[in-house]
Amino acid sequence: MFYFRLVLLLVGIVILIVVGRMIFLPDSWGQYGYYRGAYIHEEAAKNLVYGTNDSCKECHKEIYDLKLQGHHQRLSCEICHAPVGEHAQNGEKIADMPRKLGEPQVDLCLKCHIKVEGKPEKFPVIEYPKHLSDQNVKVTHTCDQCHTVHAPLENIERGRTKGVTLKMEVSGGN
Amino acid sequence: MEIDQGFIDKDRRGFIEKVLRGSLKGSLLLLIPMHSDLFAQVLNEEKDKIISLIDPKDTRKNYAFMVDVGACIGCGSCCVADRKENHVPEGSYRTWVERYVIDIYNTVYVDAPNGGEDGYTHMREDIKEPIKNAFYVPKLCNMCQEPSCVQVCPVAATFKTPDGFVLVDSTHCVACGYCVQACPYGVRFINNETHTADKCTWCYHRVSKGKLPACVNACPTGARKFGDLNDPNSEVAKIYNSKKILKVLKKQLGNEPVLYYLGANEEVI
Repeated sequence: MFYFRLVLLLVGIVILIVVGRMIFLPDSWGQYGYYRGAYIHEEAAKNLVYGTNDSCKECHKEIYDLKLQGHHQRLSCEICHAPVGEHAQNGEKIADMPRKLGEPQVDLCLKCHIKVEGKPEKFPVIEYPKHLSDQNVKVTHTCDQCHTVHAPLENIERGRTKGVTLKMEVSGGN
Repeated sequence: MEIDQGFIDKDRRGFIEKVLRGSLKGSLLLLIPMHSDLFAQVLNEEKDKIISLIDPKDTRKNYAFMVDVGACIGCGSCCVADRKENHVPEGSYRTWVERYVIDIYNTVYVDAPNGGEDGYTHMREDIKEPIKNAFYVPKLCNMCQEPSCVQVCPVAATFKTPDGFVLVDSTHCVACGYCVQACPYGVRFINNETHTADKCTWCYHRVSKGKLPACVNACPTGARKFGDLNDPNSEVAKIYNSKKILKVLKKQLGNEPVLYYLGANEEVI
Protein backbone atom coordinates (compact mmCIF):
# COMPACT_ATOMS: atom_id res chain seq x y z
CA MET A 1 0.00 0.00 0.00
CA PHE A 2 2.86 2.35 0.87
CA TYR A 3 4.56 1.71 -2.47
CA PHE A 4 1.30 2.24 -4.31
CA ARG A 5 0.99 5.71 -2.76
CA LEU A 6 4.60 6.47 -3.58
CA VAL A 7 4.11 5.47 -7.21
CA LEU A 8 0.90 7.51 -7.34
CA LEU A 9 2.77 10.53 -5.98
CA LEU A 10 5.56 10.11 -8.53
CA VAL A 11 3.07 9.75 -11.40
CA GLY A 12 1.29 12.85 -10.12
CA ILE A 13 4.53 14.82 -10.10
CA VAL A 14 5.41 13.65 -13.60
CA ILE A 15 1.97 14.63 -14.91
CA LEU A 16 2.28 18.00 -13.19
CA ILE A 17 5.65 18.62 -14.83
CA VAL A 18 4.42 17.54 -18.26
CA VAL A 19 1.26 19.64 -18.06
CA GLY A 20 3.20 22.56 -16.58
CA ARG A 21 5.68 22.49 -19.43
CA MET A 22 2.86 22.40 -21.96
CA ILE A 23 1.23 25.42 -20.38
CA PHE A 24 4.24 27.56 -19.56
CA LEU A 25 6.74 26.88 -22.33
CA PRO A 26 6.27 28.70 -25.64
CA ASP A 27 5.32 26.55 -28.62
CA SER A 28 8.56 26.42 -30.50
CA TRP A 29 10.61 25.83 -27.36
CA GLY A 30 13.17 23.15 -28.06
CA GLN A 31 12.78 23.32 -31.83
CA TYR A 32 16.50 24.06 -32.20
CA GLY A 33 17.65 24.05 -28.59
CA TYR A 34 16.65 25.21 -25.14
CA TYR A 35 15.07 28.46 -26.31
CA ARG A 36 12.13 29.71 -28.36
CA GLY A 37 13.03 28.56 -31.87
CA ALA A 38 10.52 30.82 -33.61
CA TYR A 39 12.56 33.84 -32.55
CA ILE A 40 15.27 32.97 -35.05
CA HIS A 41 12.72 33.31 -37.83
CA GLU A 42 11.31 36.50 -36.37
CA GLU A 43 14.79 37.98 -36.26
CA ALA A 44 15.54 36.86 -39.82
CA ALA A 45 12.28 38.34 -41.10
CA LYS A 46 13.10 41.87 -39.94
CA ASN A 47 13.05 44.47 -42.67
CA LEU A 48 16.17 45.77 -44.30
CA VAL A 49 16.83 49.49 -44.19
CA TYR A 50 20.06 49.60 -46.17
CA GLY A 51 20.33 48.00 -49.58
CA THR A 52 23.46 47.74 -51.69
CA ASN A 53 24.80 49.89 -54.52
CA ASP A 54 22.88 47.66 -56.90
CA SER A 55 19.69 49.00 -55.34
CA CYS A 56 20.69 52.50 -56.50
CA LYS A 57 21.85 51.31 -59.94
CA GLU A 58 18.33 50.64 -61.15
CA CYS A 59 17.43 54.33 -61.26
CA HIS A 60 20.83 56.08 -61.15
CA LYS A 61 22.91 54.06 -63.57
CA GLU A 62 24.91 57.05 -64.90
CA ILE A 63 26.24 57.90 -61.49
CA TYR A 64 26.79 54.24 -60.70
CA ASP A 65 28.95 53.92 -63.82
CA LEU A 66 30.79 57.17 -63.14
CA LYS A 67 31.55 56.05 -59.61
CA LEU A 68 32.99 52.76 -60.86
CA GLN A 69 35.65 54.67 -62.80
CA GLY A 70 36.95 56.71 -59.90
CA HIS A 71 38.61 56.27 -56.56
CA HIS A 72 35.24 56.18 -54.80
CA GLN A 73 34.23 52.97 -56.56
CA ARG A 74 34.15 50.94 -53.36
CA LEU A 75 32.04 53.42 -51.45
CA SER A 76 28.50 52.56 -50.56
CA CYS A 77 26.12 55.20 -51.97
CA GLU A 78 24.12 55.08 -48.79
CA ILE A 79 26.86 56.28 -46.45
CA CYS A 80 26.79 59.76 -48.00
CA HIS A 81 23.15 59.93 -49.04
CA ALA A 82 20.83 57.89 -46.77
CA PRO A 83 19.56 54.32 -46.61
CA VAL A 84 17.60 53.31 -49.69
CA GLY A 85 14.80 52.10 -47.43
CA GLU A 86 14.08 55.74 -46.53
CA HIS A 87 14.11 56.80 -50.20
CA ALA A 88 12.31 54.09 -52.17
CA GLN A 89 9.90 51.27 -51.40
CA ASN A 90 8.57 48.72 -53.88
CA GLY A 91 10.34 50.48 -56.72
CA GLU A 92 8.61 53.80 -55.96
CA LYS A 93 10.28 56.89 -54.58
CA ILE A 94 8.83 57.72 -51.19
CA ALA A 95 11.05 60.59 -50.07
CA ASP A 96 13.90 62.80 -51.21
CA MET A 97 17.39 61.95 -50.11
CA PRO A 98 18.70 64.43 -47.56
CA ARG A 99 21.78 65.00 -49.71
CA LYS A 100 21.39 65.74 -53.39
CA LEU A 101 23.68 65.95 -56.35
CA GLY A 102 25.15 69.39 -56.91
CA GLU A 103 25.01 70.59 -53.32
CA PRO A 104 28.26 72.12 -52.04
CA GLN A 105 30.20 69.63 -49.96
CA VAL A 106 32.88 70.15 -47.32
CA ASP A 107 31.97 68.45 -44.06
CA LEU A 108 31.09 65.17 -45.67
CA CYS A 109 34.43 64.99 -47.46
CA LEU A 110 36.37 65.97 -44.37
CA LYS A 111 34.71 63.28 -42.32
CA CYS A 112 37.06 60.82 -44.01
CA HIS A 113 39.79 62.95 -45.54
CA ILE A 114 40.79 65.39 -42.79
CA LYS A 115 44.23 64.87 -41.35
CA VAL A 116 43.98 63.59 -37.78
CA GLU A 117 46.14 61.09 -35.97
CA GLY A 118 45.55 57.43 -36.70
CA LYS A 119 44.70 57.52 -40.42
CA PRO A 120 46.31 54.70 -42.41
CA GLU A 121 49.47 55.79 -44.26
CA LYS A 122 48.16 55.22 -47.77
CA PHE A 123 44.85 56.95 -47.18
CA PRO A 124 44.70 60.41 -48.82
CA VAL A 125 44.26 63.11 -46.16
CA ILE A 126 44.42 66.89 -46.31
CA GLU A 127 44.97 69.64 -43.79
CA TYR A 128 41.98 71.91 -43.92
CA PRO A 129 41.93 74.75 -44.94
CA LYS A 130 45.68 74.61 -45.63
CA HIS A 131 45.03 72.42 -48.68
CA LEU A 132 43.07 75.23 -50.33
CA SER A 133 45.81 77.83 -49.93
CA ASP A 134 48.39 75.27 -51.04
CA GLN A 135 46.42 74.80 -54.25
CA ASN A 136 46.15 78.59 -54.78
CA VAL A 137 42.38 78.71 -54.53
CA LYS A 138 40.15 80.74 -52.24
CA VAL A 139 39.68 79.30 -48.76
CA THR A 140 35.94 79.72 -49.25
CA HIS A 141 35.93 77.08 -51.98
CA THR A 142 34.07 73.87 -51.35
CA CYS A 143 35.62 70.49 -52.11
CA ASP A 144 33.24 69.70 -54.96
CA GLN A 145 34.35 72.76 -56.95
CA CYS A 146 37.47 70.87 -57.94
CA HIS A 147 36.65 67.28 -57.02
CA THR A 148 33.55 65.68 -58.47
CA VAL A 149 32.17 63.78 -55.54
CA HIS A 150 31.50 60.51 -57.35
CA ALA A 151 34.88 60.33 -59.12
CA PRO A 152 37.09 62.65 -57.07
CA LEU A 153 40.06 62.94 -59.40
CA GLU A 154 38.08 63.05 -62.64
CA ASN A 155 38.49 66.78 -63.24
CA ILE A 156 41.95 66.99 -61.68
CA GLU A 157 43.33 64.38 -64.06
CA ARG A 158 41.79 66.06 -67.08
CA GLY A 159 42.96 69.50 -65.95
CA ARG A 160 39.43 70.85 -65.91
CA THR A 161 39.39 72.23 -62.41
CA LYS A 162 39.59 75.90 -63.32
CA GLY A 163 36.55 75.73 -65.55
CA VAL A 164 34.56 73.99 -62.88
CA THR A 165 35.67 76.46 -60.26
CA LEU A 166 34.72 79.45 -62.36
CA LYS A 167 31.38 77.97 -63.29
CA MET A 168 30.51 77.44 -59.67
CA GLU A 169 31.63 80.97 -58.75
CA VAL A 170 29.40 82.53 -61.40
CA SER A 171 26.40 80.49 -60.39
CA GLY A 172 26.81 81.68 -56.83
CA GLY A 173 28.24 78.62 -55.11
CA ASN A 174 30.99 79.25 -52.63
CA MET B 1 11.17 47.70 -35.57
CA GLU B 2 7.88 46.23 -36.53
CA ILE B 3 7.91 42.49 -36.24
CA ASP B 4 5.04 40.80 -37.95
CA GLN B 5 3.83 38.69 -35.05
CA GLY B 6 0.50 38.06 -36.71
CA PHE B 7 1.48 35.62 -39.36
CA ILE B 8 2.99 33.16 -36.92
CA ASP B 9 -0.05 33.11 -34.67
CA LYS B 10 -2.44 32.91 -37.61
CA ASP B 11 -1.11 29.72 -39.09
CA ARG B 12 1.28 28.01 -36.74
CA ARG B 13 0.95 24.56 -38.29
CA GLY B 14 1.59 25.87 -41.74
CA PHE B 15 4.52 27.83 -40.46
CA ILE B 16 6.20 24.79 -38.92
CA GLU B 17 5.55 22.81 -42.07
CA LYS B 18 7.25 25.51 -44.04
CA VAL B 19 10.16 25.49 -41.66
CA LEU B 20 10.56 21.75 -42.04
CA ARG B 21 10.34 22.00 -45.78
CA GLY B 22 12.83 24.81 -45.52
CA SER B 23 15.40 22.55 -43.95
CA LEU B 24 15.33 20.45 -47.10
CA LYS B 25 15.64 23.40 -49.38
CA GLY B 26 18.17 24.97 -47.07
CA SER B 27 20.54 27.11 -48.98
CA LEU B 28 18.21 27.45 -51.96
CA LEU B 29 17.81 31.00 -50.73
CA LEU B 30 21.30 31.77 -51.84
CA LEU B 31 20.51 30.62 -55.35
CA ILE B 32 17.50 32.85 -55.68
CA PRO B 33 18.73 36.01 -57.35
CA MET B 34 17.64 38.64 -54.85
CA HIS B 35 18.07 41.58 -57.10
CA SER B 36 18.46 44.58 -54.96
CA ASP B 37 15.97 46.76 -56.75
CA LEU B 38 13.38 44.28 -55.63
CA PHE B 39 14.53 44.01 -52.09
CA ALA B 40 11.75 46.10 -50.66
CA GLN B 41 9.17 44.15 -52.66
CA VAL B 42 10.60 40.83 -51.62
CA LEU B 43 10.41 41.87 -48.02
CA ASN B 44 6.91 43.13 -48.02
CA GLU B 45 5.17 40.76 -50.38
CA GLU B 46 7.15 37.55 -50.17
CA LYS B 47 8.13 37.62 -46.55
CA ASP B 48 6.52 34.26 -45.84
CA LYS B 49 8.34 32.62 -48.70
CA ILE B 50 11.68 33.95 -47.53
CA ILE B 51 11.05 33.05 -43.93
CA SER B 52 10.30 29.45 -44.85
CA LEU B 53 13.57 29.19 -46.73
CA ILE B 54 15.68 30.39 -43.83
CA ASP B 55 17.11 27.37 -42.11
CA PRO B 56 19.05 27.95 -38.89
CA LYS B 57 20.17 24.31 -38.92
CA ASP B 58 22.09 24.76 -42.12
CA THR B 59 25.65 24.74 -40.81
CA ARG B 60 27.36 24.45 -44.15
CA LYS B 61 28.40 28.06 -43.79
CA ASN B 62 30.92 29.08 -41.18
CA TYR B 63 30.61 32.82 -40.90
CA ALA B 64 33.41 34.95 -39.56
CA PHE B 65 33.90 38.66 -39.08
CA MET B 66 37.26 40.32 -39.52
CA VAL B 67 38.39 43.80 -38.60
CA ASP B 68 41.45 45.19 -40.34
CA VAL B 69 42.69 47.70 -37.78
CA GLY B 70 45.22 49.14 -40.22
CA ALA B 71 42.51 50.06 -42.72
CA CYS B 72 40.05 51.83 -40.42
CA ILE B 73 39.96 55.61 -40.95
CA GLY B 74 37.59 56.37 -38.07
CA CYS B 75 34.88 57.93 -40.25
CA GLY B 76 32.04 56.39 -38.23
CA SER B 77 29.97 55.39 -41.28
CA CYS B 78 29.58 51.90 -39.85
CA CYS B 79 28.09 53.25 -36.63
CA VAL B 80 25.60 55.45 -38.49
CA ALA B 81 24.56 52.54 -40.71
CA ASP B 82 24.20 50.23 -37.74
CA ARG B 83 22.01 52.64 -35.81
CA LYS B 84 19.60 53.07 -38.72
CA GLU B 85 19.57 49.45 -39.83
CA ASN B 86 18.84 48.11 -36.37
CA HIS B 87 16.88 51.05 -34.94
CA VAL B 88 19.27 51.46 -32.03
CA PRO B 89 18.15 54.23 -29.66
CA GLU B 90 20.41 57.26 -29.16
CA GLY B 91 22.85 56.76 -26.34
CA SER B 92 23.22 53.03 -26.92
CA TYR B 93 25.69 51.44 -29.28
CA ARG B 94 25.67 48.05 -30.97
CA THR B 95 28.99 48.88 -32.56
CA TRP B 96 31.47 51.67 -31.99
CA VAL B 97 34.93 52.78 -33.02
CA GLU B 98 37.61 53.49 -30.44
CA ARG B 99 40.60 55.75 -31.02
CA TYR B 100 43.89 54.57 -29.54
CA VAL B 101 46.69 57.08 -29.20
CA ILE B 102 50.08 56.03 -27.81
CA ASP B 103 52.70 58.61 -26.83
CA ILE B 104 56.48 58.14 -26.77
CA TYR B 105 56.34 57.12 -23.09
CA ASN B 106 53.98 54.28 -24.07
CA THR B 107 51.01 55.83 -22.31
CA VAL B 108 47.86 54.63 -24.04
CA TYR B 109 44.95 57.05 -24.46
CA VAL B 110 41.64 55.59 -25.58
CA ASP B 111 38.55 57.61 -26.37
CA ALA B 112 35.31 57.11 -28.29
CA PRO B 113 33.19 60.29 -28.22
CA ASN B 114 29.62 59.31 -29.16
CA GLY B 115 30.94 55.88 -30.11
CA GLY B 116 32.92 57.45 -32.94
CA GLU B 117 29.68 57.91 -34.82
CA ASP B 118 30.38 61.53 -35.81
CA GLY B 119 33.76 60.59 -37.24
CA TYR B 120 37.10 61.58 -35.77
CA THR B 121 37.68 65.02 -37.26
CA HIS B 122 39.72 66.63 -34.47
CA MET B 123 43.15 65.81 -33.13
CA ARG B 124 43.42 65.00 -29.45
CA GLU B 125 44.74 68.21 -27.96
CA ASP B 126 44.98 67.05 -24.36
CA ILE B 127 48.07 64.94 -25.04
CA LYS B 128 51.20 66.97 -24.37
CA GLU B 129 53.84 64.36 -25.26
CA PRO B 130 54.74 63.55 -28.86
CA ILE B 131 52.56 60.82 -30.33
CA LYS B 132 54.19 57.60 -31.44
CA ASN B 133 51.26 55.65 -32.79
CA ALA B 134 47.53 56.04 -33.31
CA PHE B 135 44.85 53.83 -34.78
CA TYR B 136 41.13 53.16 -34.75
CA VAL B 137 39.58 49.95 -33.48
CA PRO B 138 35.99 49.07 -34.41
CA LYS B 139 34.20 47.02 -31.77
CA LEU B 140 31.12 44.85 -32.09
CA CYS B 141 29.73 41.51 -30.91
CA ASN B 142 32.46 38.86 -30.84
CA MET B 143 29.86 36.12 -31.51
CA CYS B 144 31.67 33.80 -29.09
CA GLN B 145 31.55 30.07 -29.61
CA GLU B 146 31.37 29.76 -25.81
CA PRO B 147 29.29 32.83 -24.97
CA SER B 148 29.22 33.80 -21.31
CA CYS B 149 26.09 35.88 -21.86
CA VAL B 150 24.16 32.76 -22.87
CA GLN B 151 25.47 30.87 -19.88
CA VAL B 152 24.20 33.40 -17.34
CA CYS B 153 20.77 34.09 -18.83
CA PRO B 154 18.24 32.79 -16.27
CA VAL B 155 15.31 32.54 -18.72
CA ALA B 156 17.13 31.29 -21.84
CA ALA B 157 16.17 34.44 -23.72
CA THR B 158 19.61 34.69 -25.21
CA PHE B 159 21.00 31.73 -27.09
CA LYS B 160 23.35 30.61 -29.81
CA THR B 161 21.64 29.54 -33.03
CA PRO B 162 22.78 26.30 -34.69
CA ASP B 163 24.50 28.41 -37.36
CA GLY B 164 26.51 30.24 -34.71
CA PHE B 165 24.81 33.59 -34.09
CA VAL B 166 24.14 34.76 -30.55
CA LEU B 167 20.70 36.38 -30.47
CA VAL B 168 18.40 37.88 -27.84
CA ASP B 169 14.73 36.92 -27.86
CA SER B 170 13.30 40.30 -26.96
CA THR B 171 9.85 38.83 -26.26
CA HIS B 172 11.32 36.48 -23.67
CA CYS B 173 13.97 38.67 -22.02
CA VAL B 174 13.19 39.95 -18.52
CA ALA B 175 15.96 42.60 -18.62
CA CYS B 176 17.70 41.38 -15.49
CA GLY B 177 20.98 42.62 -16.95
CA TYR B 178 23.11 39.58 -16.05
CA CYS B 179 24.24 39.22 -19.65
CA VAL B 180 25.22 42.89 -19.79
CA GLN B 181 27.58 42.27 -16.88
CA ALA B 182 28.76 38.88 -18.12
CA CYS B 183 29.85 40.00 -21.57
CA PRO B 184 33.62 40.52 -21.36
CA TYR B 185 33.53 42.78 -24.42
CA GLY B 186 30.84 45.16 -23.19
CA VAL B 187 28.72 44.83 -26.31
CA ARG B 188 25.40 44.34 -24.52
CA PHE B 189 23.08 47.02 -23.20
CA ILE B 190 19.51 47.39 -22.03
CA ASN B 191 17.55 48.94 -24.87
CA ASN B 192 15.59 51.81 -23.33
CA GLU B 193 12.81 51.50 -25.92
CA THR B 194 12.12 47.78 -25.77
CA HIS B 195 13.32 47.49 -22.15
CA THR B 196 15.17 44.29 -22.95
CA ALA B 197 18.78 43.31 -23.46
CA ASP B 198 20.07 44.16 -26.90
CA LYS B 199 23.24 43.57 -28.86
CA CYS B 200 24.84 43.40 -32.28
CA THR B 201 23.55 40.41 -34.27
CA TRP B 202 26.00 40.73 -37.18
CA CYS B 203 22.78 41.78 -38.94
CA TYR B 204 21.30 38.29 -38.84
CA HIS B 205 18.28 39.56 -40.80
CA ARG B 206 20.56 40.67 -43.64
CA VAL B 207 22.98 37.75 -43.58
CA SER B 208 20.17 35.21 -43.67
CA LYS B 209 18.93 36.93 -46.83
CA GLY B 210 22.35 36.71 -48.45
CA LYS B 211 23.45 40.29 -47.78
CA LEU B 212 26.39 41.71 -45.89
CA PRO B 213 25.92 43.24 -42.44
CA ALA B 214 25.07 46.95 -42.66
CA CYS B 215 28.39 48.07 -41.17
CA VAL B 216 30.41 45.96 -43.61
CA ASN B 217 28.39 47.34 -46.50
CA ALA B 218 29.00 50.88 -45.25
CA CYS B 219 32.74 50.60 -44.58
CA PRO B 220 34.55 52.69 -47.22
CA THR B 221 37.98 51.12 -46.81
CA GLY B 222 37.17 47.46 -46.29
CA ALA B 223 38.28 47.56 -42.67
CA ARG B 224 35.28 45.44 -41.80
CA LYS B 225 35.07 42.11 -43.58
CA PHE B 226 32.46 39.42 -43.33
CA GLY B 227 32.20 36.07 -45.04
CA ASP B 228 32.13 32.32 -45.02
CA LEU B 229 35.30 30.54 -43.89
CA ASN B 230 34.14 27.39 -45.66
CA ASP B 231 34.18 29.17 -49.00
CA PRO B 232 37.85 29.21 -50.09
CA ASN B 233 37.19 32.11 -52.48
CA SER B 234 35.84 34.46 -49.81
CA GLU B 235 38.07 37.27 -48.62
CA VAL B 236 37.90 36.15 -45.00
CA ALA B 237 38.88 32.57 -45.87
CA LYS B 238 41.84 33.82 -47.88
CA ILE B 239 43.03 35.92 -44.96
CA TYR B 240 42.31 33.13 -42.49
CA ASN B 241 44.38 30.65 -44.50
CA SER B 242 47.22 33.09 -45.16
CA LYS B 243 50.25 33.88 -43.03
CA LYS B 244 48.66 37.06 -41.70
CA ILE B 245 48.36 37.20 -37.95
CA LEU B 246 44.80 37.15 -36.69
CA LYS B 247 44.04 37.91 -33.08
CA VAL B 248 40.94 37.67 -30.94
CA LEU B 249 40.15 39.87 -27.96
CA LYS B 250 40.76 38.49 -24.44
CA LYS B 251 41.69 35.03 -25.67
CA GLN B 252 42.60 33.89 -22.16
CA LEU B 253 38.95 34.04 -21.10
CA GLY B 254 38.14 31.09 -23.36
CA ASN B 255 35.07 32.64 -24.97
CA GLU B 256 36.45 31.69 -28.38
CA PRO B 257 35.29 34.70 -30.39
CA VAL B 258 34.69 34.47 -34.13
CA LEU B 259 35.51 38.17 -34.51
CA TYR B 260 39.12 38.36 -35.66
CA TYR B 261 41.38 41.39 -35.59
CA LEU B 262 43.96 41.80 -38.30
CA GLY B 263 46.97 43.92 -37.45
CA ALA B 264 45.84 44.69 -33.92
CA ASN B 265 48.46 46.02 -31.50
CA GLU B 266 49.12 44.49 -28.11
CA GLU B 267 47.26 47.38 -26.44
CA VAL B 268 43.98 46.34 -28.11
CA ILE B 269 44.03 42.67 -27.15
